[in-house]
Amino acid sequence: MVLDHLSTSWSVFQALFLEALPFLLIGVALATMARHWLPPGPVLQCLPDHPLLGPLTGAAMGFALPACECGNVPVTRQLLASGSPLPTAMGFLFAAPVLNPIVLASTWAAFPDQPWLLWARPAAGLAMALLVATLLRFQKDAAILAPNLLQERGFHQPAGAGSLLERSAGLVGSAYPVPRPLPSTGRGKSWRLSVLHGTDELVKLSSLLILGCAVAALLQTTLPRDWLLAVGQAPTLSVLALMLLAVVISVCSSVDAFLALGFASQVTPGALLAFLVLGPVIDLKSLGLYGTVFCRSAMVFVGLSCGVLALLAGQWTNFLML
Amino acid sequence: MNQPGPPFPWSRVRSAVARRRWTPLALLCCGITLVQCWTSGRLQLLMAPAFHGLVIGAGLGLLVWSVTALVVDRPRRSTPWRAAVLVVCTNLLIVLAPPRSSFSTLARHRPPARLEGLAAGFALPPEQRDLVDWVRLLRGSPQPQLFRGEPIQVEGFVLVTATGEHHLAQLLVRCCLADATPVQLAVQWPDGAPPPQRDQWVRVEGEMELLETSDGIQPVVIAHGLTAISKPRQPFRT
Repeated sequence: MVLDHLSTSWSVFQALFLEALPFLLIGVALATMARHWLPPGPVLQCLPDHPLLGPLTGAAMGFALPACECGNVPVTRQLLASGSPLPTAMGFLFAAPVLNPIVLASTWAAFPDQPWLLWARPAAGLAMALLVATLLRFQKDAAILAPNLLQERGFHQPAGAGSLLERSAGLVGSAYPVPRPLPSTGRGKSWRLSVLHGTDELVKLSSLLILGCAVAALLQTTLPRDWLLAVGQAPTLSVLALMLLAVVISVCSSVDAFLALGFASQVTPGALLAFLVLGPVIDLKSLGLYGTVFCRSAMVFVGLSCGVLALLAGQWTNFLML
Repeated sequence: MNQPGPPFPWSRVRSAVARRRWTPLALLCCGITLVQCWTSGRLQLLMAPAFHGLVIGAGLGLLVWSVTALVVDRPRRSTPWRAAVLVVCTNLLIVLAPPRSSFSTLARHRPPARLEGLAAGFALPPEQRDLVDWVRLLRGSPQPQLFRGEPIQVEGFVLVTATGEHHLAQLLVRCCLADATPVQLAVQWPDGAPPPQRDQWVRVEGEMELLETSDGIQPVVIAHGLTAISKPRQPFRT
């Protein structure tokens, strides 16, 4: 029996990894092209820093990248490293997995008879992105971003944008290793550096994806899914159970609506909405990837914030529809 | 007359190993793994056909990317070699240890599949309906009793339920094995013979019966004949 569980976990791991890797490749390829063609600094710094316009702009950018969260993380990292304002990058990170054409089309295809879900899902996803981005905007970059990213970002921000310590200026010493020199001269050399940088990034993210898929696959075969669905009609418990299920299953946001179709009739409408809103943003598979953008405390903060907002969205939906 | 293309840069690969250029090699492994999964037909065991093109494209893209990186790579001061070693080892394991999942274990604690949106087999004669067609027909019909006594010939794997019953089942997959959900029918196995083993693929011939239970009407296949079959190339419905 244990061998059965292990071999089944291994198969689920392979399925998750092989299916997610192409999306990661797309994301890193886009980030590499952006690094090569978009000059860091001035252009991206023109994106709005406004608490409302920033996330809205980031969410709108999601339409240009119809990928799931695996593809969005490297692009967000590149946006931040190139000096993009935090609200825009966060809007992209949290809203794009829900607000992209493929996800909206799959939601429509899976739930043609539940029109409320067609607007409630993107609306709740956008609201979550706005609120989390706004909450993060009150923090200093140094308090939320991963150290390596913070250092890359410091090189592309105006001199007055960060404090002396945040910029790791030589006067007070550097807390982190000296970064690699930026590509500067010659088109060929620039291309070479872009390819090598993208290669290193893709390998690092793939290793994190492997760890995330391994945890998700093990939990999928050991945590009985019908236990979670057993609390289907309890308003609050069903929302919490489906949130947990969304985090564990780690399925791509472009097809999670079809998965939700399988248990839509057994759970409350709020639980269904919470599953469809939280899953694309937070799941075990992408937890390691988030570590390349956020520091640990910020990851906990983001996870809790998204969880609370998904719970509120689910509760409010149940209040209106039950 | 076509000129032969440039030879594959094996010397670069050997040189990369010697100089510990782990990251391009790790990507090369990823690309080879994806292409190998495609050529060996393993993708059909793991995910819905809609995603095969994506995986194949990604595999070829990774091969091109990694060869380019091998060609332009120069010895560098630091590379994420630990991550690269993990990626290389994982890909080797994937190639060497193909998936051998127990569908029964996978499906045991999962809710039954919803069948909306699938192509229906209503118009087919009873003997030509597959297991999914039958379940969909029985669930959707206001008078399932009308199907009592109809001949049935269906294939699937043996699913041992949480209560220990041996059902005949197929998996429905929308994306990959992670979201697989079972479609199943209870079976009254032929008299005198033990039910087939868990995960065994079988063809069951018999007739449809509907039993009145406390939970309502439960369809049961009364099996007259039982044949062991090999696992299909794509062992689930999409």
